Amino acid sequence: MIRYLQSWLEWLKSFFFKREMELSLIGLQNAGKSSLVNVLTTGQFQEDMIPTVGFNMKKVTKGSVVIKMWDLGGQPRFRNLWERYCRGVQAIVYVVDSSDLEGLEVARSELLALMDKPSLKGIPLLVLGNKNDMPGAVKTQELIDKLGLKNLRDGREVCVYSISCKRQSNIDITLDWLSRHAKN
Amino acid sequence: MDSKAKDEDAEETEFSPFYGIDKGAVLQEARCFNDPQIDARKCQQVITKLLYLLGQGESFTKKEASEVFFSVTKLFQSKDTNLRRMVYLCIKDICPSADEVIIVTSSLMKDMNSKTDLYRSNSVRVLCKIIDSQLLMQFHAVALLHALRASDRLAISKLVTTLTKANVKSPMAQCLDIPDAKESGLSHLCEFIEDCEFTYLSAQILHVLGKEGPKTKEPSKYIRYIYNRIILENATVRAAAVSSLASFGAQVESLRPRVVTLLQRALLDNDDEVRDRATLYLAQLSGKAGGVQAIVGKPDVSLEVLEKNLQGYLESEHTEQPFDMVCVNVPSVRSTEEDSLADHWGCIPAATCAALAELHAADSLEQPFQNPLPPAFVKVQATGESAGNWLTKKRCCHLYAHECRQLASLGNVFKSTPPVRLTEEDTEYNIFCVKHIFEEHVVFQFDCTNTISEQEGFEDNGVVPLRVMPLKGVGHTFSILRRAPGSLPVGELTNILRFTVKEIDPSTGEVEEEGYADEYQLEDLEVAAADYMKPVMVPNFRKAWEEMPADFEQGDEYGLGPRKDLQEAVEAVMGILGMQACEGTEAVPPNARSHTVLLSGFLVGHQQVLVRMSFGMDASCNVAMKLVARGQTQGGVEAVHSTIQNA
Repeated sequence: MIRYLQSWLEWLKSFFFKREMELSLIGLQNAGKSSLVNVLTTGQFQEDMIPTVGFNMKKVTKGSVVIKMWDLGGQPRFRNLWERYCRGVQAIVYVVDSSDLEGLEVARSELLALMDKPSLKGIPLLVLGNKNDMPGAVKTQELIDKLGLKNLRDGREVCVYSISCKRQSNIDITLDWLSRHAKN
Repeated sequence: MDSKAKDEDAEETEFSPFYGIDKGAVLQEARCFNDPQIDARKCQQVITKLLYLLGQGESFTKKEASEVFFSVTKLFQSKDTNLRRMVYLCIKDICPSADEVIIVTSSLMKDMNSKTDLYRSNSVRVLCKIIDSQLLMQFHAVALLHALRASDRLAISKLVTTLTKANVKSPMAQCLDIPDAKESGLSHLCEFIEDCEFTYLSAQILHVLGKEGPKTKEPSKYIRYIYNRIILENATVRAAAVSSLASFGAQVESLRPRVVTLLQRALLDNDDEVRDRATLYLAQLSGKAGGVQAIVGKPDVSLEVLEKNLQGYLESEHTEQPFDMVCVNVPSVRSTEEDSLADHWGCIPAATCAALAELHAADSLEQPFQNPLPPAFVKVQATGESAGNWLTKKRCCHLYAHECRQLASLGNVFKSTPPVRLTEEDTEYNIFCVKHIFEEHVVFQFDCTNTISEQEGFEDNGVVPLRVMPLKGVGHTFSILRRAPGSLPVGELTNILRFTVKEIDPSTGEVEEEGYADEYQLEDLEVAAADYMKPVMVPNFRKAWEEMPADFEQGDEYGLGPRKDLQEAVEAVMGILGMQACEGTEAVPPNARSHTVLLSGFLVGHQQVLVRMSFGMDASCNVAMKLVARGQTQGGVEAVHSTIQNA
């Protein structure tokens, strides 16, 4: 009974102390951006997803935080449009397929090019090495090296997690990180 | 609503709610699209302002347009249906480039599957507008599937049309369009009519088979299909099949005996039309009734002209003579859609040939015009010599045809102006002039009518632009002037009608030999710069403007002096240029102090010209205009500016 009362209080509180955050999900095609959105919003993992042509917008409420996510297409022709949807967000989430070693080089150059944009200066960056359940997936440290993340830390908060949307591993810490970056 | 404007001038009653809005300010306001919390109402208002600016022909730079476009896409997060509608309108009007617009694909697809009708129909409409072939490959199948579920039939048909890119009218037209596929297409059509239940369609296909089949490598294979129609179908289709068959017999000699055998069976048909056709074709195939040529040969005349002439013939009193086809054997000069020239030329003087008159356009513009044609043709001198004999209708027609050939040698007509009256009303002679602009020539066509019934019997000598001046009917005469290459001379022409009057003996009705020369002063005729310009609408001015290479761009500012309002100024400049206003920009909103007009047109010899004119009015009603022209040639752009400078 007390637990119900508590959750009811939480719920009530969320009306008064609701915080909003806006973030952009980017990364190469097939990295698992839309899957991550699905897992965050519905808690379900879907195996076969259609490539995102353009963008999807989803909102998820985590406790008292409403997270608005711009999930952008990862195909080459969308990459120069990423920047437009990253301006003014509270965090940029860069998803990479940590099992695709060949793709990491492209992922690195695309990320560096994006982070170079003056309009995105200082926006916190969360790098997610997805598909860590796959054989041959690189570990966090290797990801940091391969993506050259150390160079990005000038005047910007950068964080890396190794996750799996399929196994739903480390999704919780990802959500925590996001809600910490919400505006007050 | 701008209340400040209202206070400023309380006397004015009509106000545009957007009076005086400024592009920069609106673009600034559009930043609210990026706010984390969308204010749907405010965003709608801003979009309305943007649409207003676009509608007014305000130009957005590429950067501004894409900035607005991407901001607007962020409004897809709002669930407000009215706002979504405005978002769609905005995307359609901004017309973002292909590499940008793909970003809304996913959002459109989602809306196409929405339960809300408004979303579905609007999204399909936008998709039609923005789609391009590059995008097409990727998702047209998906888009179609979704679209077919939508309830908006119009939107679907638009989408399908866009997807097929060509406006395919019928499978038949498609078959005809693809020469490579012609034979297999014809075979398909043969199969199709085997069980086609539509009489009209079957008849059309039989016509196509009759026209195209004989030219194929293996014409014989179509015979069976066509003959089956004669056995199995209704009377209309049977008659069409008989004609189709006859066409094979006429064009393929080796098939003729077989066709004759088959046609003979149709002689016993219980429908008279089928029997009549079979009888006629059998006669023609055996060399009678005009022979095989009559089956395939199509009359080399404009049917419109033929109709008019037959009407004229029936109304005339000379029906005891057979109608002469020579009258209508005029080489077709119809080259442009709105070409009124052919119609004018088609009006061959009716048989009430009461007078022959000859016009002489004494040009006061000797300098810029050169004279390439036999002098007799251009400058007709009224000589004393008299032909003496009454010209029969036939004779006039011959002359007429002859001159048309002369005119046809000038090339295609670029533009014909509406007729200008050169005489006052209720005078003896009614003369109108139509200016025909050719690539290197200007042809003045004078339409002449004699209104005095007592004064019959004008005749002139046998020089080329000899014309009948009929009582109450209309006769035509032409004067041809050549322009120096590339030049577009303007000015006033003095016109004098010179003719010979001949008396008719009232008792015998015969024309007297001797006549006397007379002259008739006509109103001056102006050749204006606008005569050389053909107004041609472009559907999307901004696109056309951007696609036009900026190599020949020229801008200049002009003071237009004090004007009543901007509308007056706009109309004055448009009248001078003679170009087509695009996107409704010719209408100035009431009390506007600034306005942009977009014009498009084709200048003779200089191809397409686009003009963007921005008008502004100061406190003392002085109007200034900035005119920027782009064109496919330097000359075209310069001509636009010099037209304004010389006006």
